Amino acid sequence: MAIAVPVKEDTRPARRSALRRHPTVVIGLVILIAVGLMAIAAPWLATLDPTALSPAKRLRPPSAEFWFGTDMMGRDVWSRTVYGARVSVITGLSVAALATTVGMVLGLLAGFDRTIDAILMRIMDGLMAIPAILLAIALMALTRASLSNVIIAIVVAEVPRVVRLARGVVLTLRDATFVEAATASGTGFFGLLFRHILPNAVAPLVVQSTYIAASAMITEAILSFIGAGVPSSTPSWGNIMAEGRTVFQIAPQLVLFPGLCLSATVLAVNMLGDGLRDMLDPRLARRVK
Amino acid sequence: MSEPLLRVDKLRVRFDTPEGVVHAVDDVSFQVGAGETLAIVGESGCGKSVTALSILRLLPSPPARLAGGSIRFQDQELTTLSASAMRRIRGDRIGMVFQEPMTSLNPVLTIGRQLTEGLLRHRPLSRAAARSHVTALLERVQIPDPARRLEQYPHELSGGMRQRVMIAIAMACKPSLLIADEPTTALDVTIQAQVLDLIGELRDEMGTAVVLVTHDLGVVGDVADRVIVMYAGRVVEDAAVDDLFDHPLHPYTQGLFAARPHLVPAAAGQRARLAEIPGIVPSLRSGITGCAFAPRCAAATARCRTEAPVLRPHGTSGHSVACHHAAITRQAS
Repeated sequence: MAIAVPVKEDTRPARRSALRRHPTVVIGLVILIAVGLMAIAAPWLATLDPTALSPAKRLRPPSAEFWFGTDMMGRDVWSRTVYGARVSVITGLSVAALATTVGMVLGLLAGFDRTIDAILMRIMDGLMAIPAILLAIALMALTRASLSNVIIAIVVAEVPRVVRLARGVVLTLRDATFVEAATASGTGFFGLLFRHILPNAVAPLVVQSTYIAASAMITEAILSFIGAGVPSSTPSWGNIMAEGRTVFQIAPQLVLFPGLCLSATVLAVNMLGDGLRDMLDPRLARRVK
Repeated sequence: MSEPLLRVDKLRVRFDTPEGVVHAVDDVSFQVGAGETLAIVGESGCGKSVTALSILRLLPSPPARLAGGSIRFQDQELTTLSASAMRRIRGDRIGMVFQEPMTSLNPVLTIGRQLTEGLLRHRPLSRAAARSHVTALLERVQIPDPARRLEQYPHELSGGMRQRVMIAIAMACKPSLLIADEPTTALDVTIQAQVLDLIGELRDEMGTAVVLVTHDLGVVGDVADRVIVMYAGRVVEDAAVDDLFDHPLHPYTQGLFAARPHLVPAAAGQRARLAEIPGIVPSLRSGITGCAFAPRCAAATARCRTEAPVLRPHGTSGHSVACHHAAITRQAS
């Protein structure tokens, strides 16, 4: 008993100092939680209806009534920015989840079957030859503007990167001695896959999915900015910036505030991703530094 | 004599590589009786590991391909068995220990889960029953504080301990045959002896037969009953362990014994040079004509280079050798 006590105690400080050793994770998380809360609490945080027009109060500078000023149709930029967080958060999360899931399944298939591998990876190479943003614009041109279509378009553009990563991880793990050892003890195909290969592939895929979330938010903003994204009736950071572009010189707040929000969010996601990578794969982190 | 536990007959394994077909294992035959320990000895690339892996059909195919021969285990032909029947044998009736204890355990699963995995698959046990079984097993393989070890991950264990865990996993279902592929190579010398002793003890307790793949003749002398010596994918000598150590017949085997380091130099005051076998192992890509060892053999004659020697009995003690000059070399030694 006397021995068990110190053993229990020294695991906890170790975990706490892991967070201290990776301050980027903490900073990233704090910003992301703030953005997430902003998206959830948008109806309460918004001071005015984000779509209410008031032509009399066009292009007002920031003031006590309009915190971020108003746009050329007199809509409150603060309220619109707060609601815009919803689009970015939803896009980032769903693209990361969907692209990682689809990419992982395809990557596993490619890693296990040579025929599927040959066909699938050539398709993925083809998709990767087109810049993600161009591919997303092209896909959006085929459908009508809606948030779900934007998400699907970005997923298609992001999936090849996940497939390549997952395939690489699976190919390495498939030849690992512990997989051979598991086979030697009678483990079947699905046992190998779900108990031995997938759990070992999770860390790199989680890290990759954070980068995908960041890239998806930027792509969504670009799509909305050029008018190929979410419909203009829905406020999104890209939309607000697009509308403010023409009046940038007289009302810079229209581009400035949503732009700052987008930059901060993407930075936070990337910091989280870097920190997670360092925590989950110390060897890789050392190599990169 | 009854049917042996394992009978490998004229086993041929080929690897199809872009550079050509590699004859990794050629006409290898041997048998292992119940409770017996067979050592397969040879240098790197002689086909000993491939032979061991092909018993459990663990070679990745492609590139590996079974080109002929039969493997009979407990009256079952393993080469033609269905994949699911093969899975029922793996880990249940045949256990396997690998060379690298550092990489043979899954880093993200606890020791307990990996130990119970095979047991739960092959035996109708509850989780709790499997747990108590493996706790006893860990204790048996001399791991202190087994209950706590079950909750730990592989990185928390030393190399020697991991190899003990691997042995415990392989022995969990009390297999009739344990295949150990260089189980001590990656361990340091003191741990090697402990691990070998452990394998020996478990073999005696459970009546398990052992196929031990190694390049270490010291290991062979300690634990094996019979030895087969492989060279370039073929068996060159097959003998009881004492017989082999007393009268090695094949020039290659003699070379292996001569190449063992000795603690006391032959002439005092002089540094004895470690004996070696001249030349290198032939490439298995090109078909070999004649005796594969001929280019490195001092006793080689014109016949050795054209006619491949067959493994044939020499004397009456069950000693077989594949050499045209075995009789002569025996006198010479």
